[in-house]
Amino acid sequence: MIGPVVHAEGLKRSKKNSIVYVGEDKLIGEIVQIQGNKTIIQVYEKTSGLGIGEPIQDLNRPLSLKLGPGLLGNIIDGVQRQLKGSGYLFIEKGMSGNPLPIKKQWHFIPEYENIKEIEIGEKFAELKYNTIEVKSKDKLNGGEILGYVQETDAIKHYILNPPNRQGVIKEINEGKFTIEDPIGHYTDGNPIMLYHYWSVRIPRPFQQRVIDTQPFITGQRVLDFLYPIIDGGTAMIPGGFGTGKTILEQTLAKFSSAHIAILTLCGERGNEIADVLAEFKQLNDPLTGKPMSERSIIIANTSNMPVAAREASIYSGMTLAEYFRDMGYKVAVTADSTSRWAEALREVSVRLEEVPGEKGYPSYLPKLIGRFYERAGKVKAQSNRIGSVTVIGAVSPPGGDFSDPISQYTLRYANALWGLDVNLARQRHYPAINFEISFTQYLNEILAYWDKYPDIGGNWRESRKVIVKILKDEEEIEKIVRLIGKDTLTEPQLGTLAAAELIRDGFLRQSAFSDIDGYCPIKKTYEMALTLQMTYEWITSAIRSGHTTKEIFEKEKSIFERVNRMKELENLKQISEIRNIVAEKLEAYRKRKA
Amino acid sequence: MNTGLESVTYQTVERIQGPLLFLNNIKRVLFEEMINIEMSNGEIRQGQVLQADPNLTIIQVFEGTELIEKDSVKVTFSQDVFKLGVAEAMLGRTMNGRGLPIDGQGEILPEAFHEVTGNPINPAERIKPGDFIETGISSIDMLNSLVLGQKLPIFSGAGLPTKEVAAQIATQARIKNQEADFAVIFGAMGITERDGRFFQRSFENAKISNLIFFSNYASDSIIERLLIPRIAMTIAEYLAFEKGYHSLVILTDILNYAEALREVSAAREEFPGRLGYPGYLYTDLATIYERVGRIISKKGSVTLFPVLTMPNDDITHPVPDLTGYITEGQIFLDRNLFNMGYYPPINPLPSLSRLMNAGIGKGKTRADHREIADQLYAFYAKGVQLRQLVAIAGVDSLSDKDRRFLKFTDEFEQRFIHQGQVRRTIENSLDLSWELLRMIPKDELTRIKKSVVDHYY
Ligand SMILES: Nc1ncnc2c1ncn2[C@@H]1O[C@H](COP(=O)(O)OP(=O)(O)OP(=O)(O)O)[C@@H](O)[C@H]1O
Ligand SMILES: [Mg+2]
Repeated sequence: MIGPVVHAEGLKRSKKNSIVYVGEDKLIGEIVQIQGNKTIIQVYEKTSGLGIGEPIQDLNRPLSLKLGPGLLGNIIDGVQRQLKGSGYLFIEKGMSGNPLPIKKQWHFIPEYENIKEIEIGEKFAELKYNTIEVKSKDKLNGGEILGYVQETDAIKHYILNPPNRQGVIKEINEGKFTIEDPIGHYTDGNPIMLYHYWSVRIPRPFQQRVIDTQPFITGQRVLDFLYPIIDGGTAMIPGGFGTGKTILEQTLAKFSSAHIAILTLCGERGNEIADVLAEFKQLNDPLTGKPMSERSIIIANTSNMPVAAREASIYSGMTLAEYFRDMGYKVAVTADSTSRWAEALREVSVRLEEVPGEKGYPSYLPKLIGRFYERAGKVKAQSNRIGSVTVIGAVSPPGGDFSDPISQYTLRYANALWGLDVNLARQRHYPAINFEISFTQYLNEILAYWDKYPDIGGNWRESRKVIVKILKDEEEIEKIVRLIGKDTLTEPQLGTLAAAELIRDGFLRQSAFSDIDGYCPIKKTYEMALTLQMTYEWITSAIRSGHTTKEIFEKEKSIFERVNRMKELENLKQISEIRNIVAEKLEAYRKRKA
Repeated sequence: MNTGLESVTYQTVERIQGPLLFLNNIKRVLFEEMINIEMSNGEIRQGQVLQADPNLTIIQVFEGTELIEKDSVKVTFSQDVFKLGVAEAMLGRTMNGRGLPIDGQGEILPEAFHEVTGNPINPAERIKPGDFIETGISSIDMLNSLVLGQKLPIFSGAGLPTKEVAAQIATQARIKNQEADFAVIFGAMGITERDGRFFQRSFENAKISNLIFFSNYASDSIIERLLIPRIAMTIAEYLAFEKGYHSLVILTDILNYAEALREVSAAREEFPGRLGYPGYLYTDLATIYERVGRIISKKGSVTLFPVLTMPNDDITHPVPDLTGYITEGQIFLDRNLFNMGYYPPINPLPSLSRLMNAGIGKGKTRADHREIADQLYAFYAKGVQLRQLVAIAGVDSLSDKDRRFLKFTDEFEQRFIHQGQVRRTIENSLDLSWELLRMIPKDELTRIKKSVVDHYY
């Protein structure tokens, strides 16, 4: 027995990944290796005080989640013990905890809507209803919808036939049921339940992947404008400590265009969880107007909770996401931090005396990271509905240096990189996205999408080009300044610096704590960008007509001030007013030139 | 688990390496079990099981393995894990790395026994920290406020006045508007005799009765060094969650702690991570730091200042780096400020308290606190930038406005940062902030609401 790893002898016919109870305290463990007569177990709880010779009980089933109503608004640990209302102030060993509330009664209705999705630009989906009743003699395939319970005001929890279960319904009833009451029976006599189990390490099956692009709107300008991703996409957020990974992940969970947010807090801080819990109770999200807690689940394994459960928590989060995806929801999974998950793997691997790979991480780590991100995507589920899982993983590289193995492995599987920069964070520029290293591979798909909705995203292609160029030029000019000072710069260069400053401060910078600016609707983002694009043209025209940057900024101080503060405006009309003023100025120079 | 069995004694030590004993053929052993070790000269030492395996059981010896003879040493398994006797009466006492008094003032009767590894607070039972602690230091209280239940490390460098800052906080910290009592638990790990004398003297001079001092000197056992933070946190939790105290824990120096951990790891021949520190350093530090916080149903709280030296002033060194990844901000001691003769040399720019917002403002400190802090930060950042420009292009290129900023920056350092050992209340700090802000024309205070400027300017 060393730390989280226990060697057992004499277990008969044990299966790899089977769950066991270890010792008299019944600590939860999982079989990770079998060598001859020896079984090696990783224990999800603290092992101190566990003695040699204590008994082990093989439950003979893999680590699974109990999937059914009662998940939303809940907070569970990596092996689905409910932490809220558990009565435990401290996580004790042998702590019991039901995976789902057992007393609560749910009103089950054996019917569901046939959904047709219609895109309407920013709002994406309008639902069309045509109710289908589920009844006796219906033949059921795996993963089909049996009906629903209204779990929260915001979310209907569709009850799914287990993915690998087929059968014919003998009877199924509307009524009030607890999680352990059968809601009906199959013709083979087995009960139909509100829940089923699914093994966390196995991706849930679906019919096919769907390639039909919609943007995953984050409400963060720097992301939506510069590095957008698609619904069902993947992104990684590497960043040194304090650069804003957690705040960004939480902001995405709160404001993104997903229906459901799964926050996997893996090896991070207890106080952050308290913060999220408190905030989610009050915060009404812009989509549904309901508190966040109605459409989110938190998986909490703080850094001081047992490491093996931290390892499992990432898979638990993904499995929950797939489950809701299969009901037809868009689900966002955030994982904070995947580095802590990898470290947990390493810790267990070292105790298993496996041959270490790079930096001591097990050699199969890249494969596991790949498998994790590949579970993202938009699919046609077994239920015939279209659902998606979008994955955003934080990475915490040692010393903030992105050459570490976890960042590098993840780079190969995540399709967008939102790199956070220590220097920007130090300057209190949030989100501290670094322009040199960040990228998205979804650009063309999203450009094509907005081409279909010119009234919203019509100008994005153009203004993105202009703004990216200004930021690039600024970088070059800054290099010169660092070498020989500001004196030698030309007026156009000074103009570019001033415009870049305006873009960074007035546009890219966005406080997560601002009431108005915490979430920026996509249309507002594009409107602001267009205004900035025109402001830049105005500055360059003025300079071409012989004015100095200093003159322009001093003379038109109040206009620049207003441009800089567009983010504080809620009414888009006010932004277009500002743009009209800028346009007039620009027009004046154009005329003069003509 | 307590097996209820009689303890068993073995004489089968196979190997002694570093602070560890390696034993063969142990039939009954618990993970992290407490061990008694009897040497041939009658001396008794204590240890703890690191690896429980019948074929190879590893024990770390608290007092070290010096002079232990392999064949004659008797090892007794206690059938229980290491527990600390805790008591309110520990307040005011000085103790060693195992929680035993060394101040000659007699034994302490334990009120309870607690496992020193502790149990993680159920995150669902936590409340978000949000009550201001006044450390008496302006650059912390004004710009990087600490709240009850926060862990805020002090990043320092060799030769900087680290111990002075640590002692100043220990002796001057206060909480406002709280009924609960305040307790300071000071854990010194691997400190020099000289530092030890300094701390003793500081605490005596300050005449504080609410302080517990755990000391482990550079020449003391490294295993005890590993125990000190756990013991400190255990008593802090006991006082907080069972006796209703607000426990403020100061641990110095985490670098010494981490080096002790590295030494044990090397003796166990574990796979080394960055700079030889074990791969589980993050988790290990977290099991100390994460014990802070507040619990919904409890009155008290645990707050922590881990103090550490960054070797070569390198913030990417594993110890500050991993600490930063676990804690909630950092207070940064700066060599430049120190060289200019300023004390405490806290540089506000790289410092950050992540929980500050919840602890300040109306009803907590003062309504204008957040805005002043932002404004001071912005001006100081700008001033420092200007200084760099001056270094390249000379003073001549500066406008009057810029010159004013330079002047502000100098005064900010001389008067605000350079406060000395004096204790400043938050009101003193707020007033001083306004005094400095008045150096800049009213309409340039853009981070502060106009009504607030009109009121205080
Ligand atoms: N978008 C933002 N808006 C405003 N402030 C922010 C933002 N992002 C980060 N911050 C500030 O930076 C601090 C640190 O951010 P955060 O906790 O997200 O860092 P992190 O990258 O998760 O660090 P760690 O790796 O240590 O967990 C926050 O407490 C907050 O003060
Ligand atoms: Mg974080």
